[in-house]
Amino acid sequence: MRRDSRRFVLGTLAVALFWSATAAAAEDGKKVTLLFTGDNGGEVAPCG
Amino acid sequence: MVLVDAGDALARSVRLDVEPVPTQAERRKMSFILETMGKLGYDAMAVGERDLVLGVEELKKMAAKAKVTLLAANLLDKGGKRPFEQRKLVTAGGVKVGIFAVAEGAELERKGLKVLPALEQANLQARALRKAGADLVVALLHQDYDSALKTAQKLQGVDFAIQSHGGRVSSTQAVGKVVLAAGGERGRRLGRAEFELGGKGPLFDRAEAKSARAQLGHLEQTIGKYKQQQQQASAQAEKDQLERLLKPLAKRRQELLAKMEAEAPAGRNSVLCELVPLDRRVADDPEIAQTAKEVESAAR
Repeated sequence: MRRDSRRFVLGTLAVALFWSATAAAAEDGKKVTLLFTGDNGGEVAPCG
Repeated sequence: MVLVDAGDALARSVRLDVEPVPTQAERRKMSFILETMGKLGYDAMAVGERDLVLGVEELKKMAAKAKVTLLAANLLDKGGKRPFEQRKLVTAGGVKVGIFAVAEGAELERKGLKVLPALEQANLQARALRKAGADLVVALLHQDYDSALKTAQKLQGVDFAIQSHGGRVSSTQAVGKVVLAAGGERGRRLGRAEFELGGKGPLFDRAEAKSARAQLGHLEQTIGKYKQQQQQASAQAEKDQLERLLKPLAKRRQELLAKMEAEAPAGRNSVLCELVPLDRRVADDPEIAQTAKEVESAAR
């Protein structure tokens, strides 16, 4: 695998969270968005 | 928006502590993960075995510095006190969201922690959060999948639960009065649950209707294809064979239509949960990616 093809989970997570925060802007007292992770196992850069 | 982690975030192995002392680079990696979680705005994180490789005190110091709240309602230290927060109530978009965590695992006791029964402590936390005004109660079940299923079956006052431990990835499902989702898998996914509240009863899982809609599209194409073949067939045996194929498909179509009709009934709380793959469709944040690259190289 080429080194520069690796993905950095915390970096992709940051971008995904930004998207979700933008999409969740319309929460109005009856709607709420929960984002969650788990079992990360110390990964900062999973293969793929 | 509320952001949580269901535990086992920081280290790959639970046994780092019995191997040679974790290297400085490994410590830096754990610290980097926690600090990034703090910067990303995590509201809380359950404590799992893999988060305790440096010990309770070191983890607490690192989390305090990163401003990440550690939750574990059923863990006691040697003095009989809870080393971590039991629960947290946060407000997002006007909704009060109560969060708590329970943890299990043999390594926890090796760390000198006493593990109280998870279900009993979970129900106590849910009650306390409801009393404090929570509109939505979220349980972080840091247990293996089978144990989490058993716990979820008997939870009272909890709306949504996230299981994390052992890396098993399972589908979101209704268990007892709770909708149970899987936490993740080595950072490959981000869970996203959209709640519509203000109604009554256990959460209605809107994903089932959504999935039925998608399956129905494929199924109707297949049924159409077989019907066309049946009309064009000249031999009766071929017509009969296609009829045998069509029968179960028609039955399945009725089942999917019934699921679709079960859209969240009026006055019912509901959730739509999906697992977003953190794959190539999601760009890297360049600054975080660069630091991650350095930290990972050093820890090898």
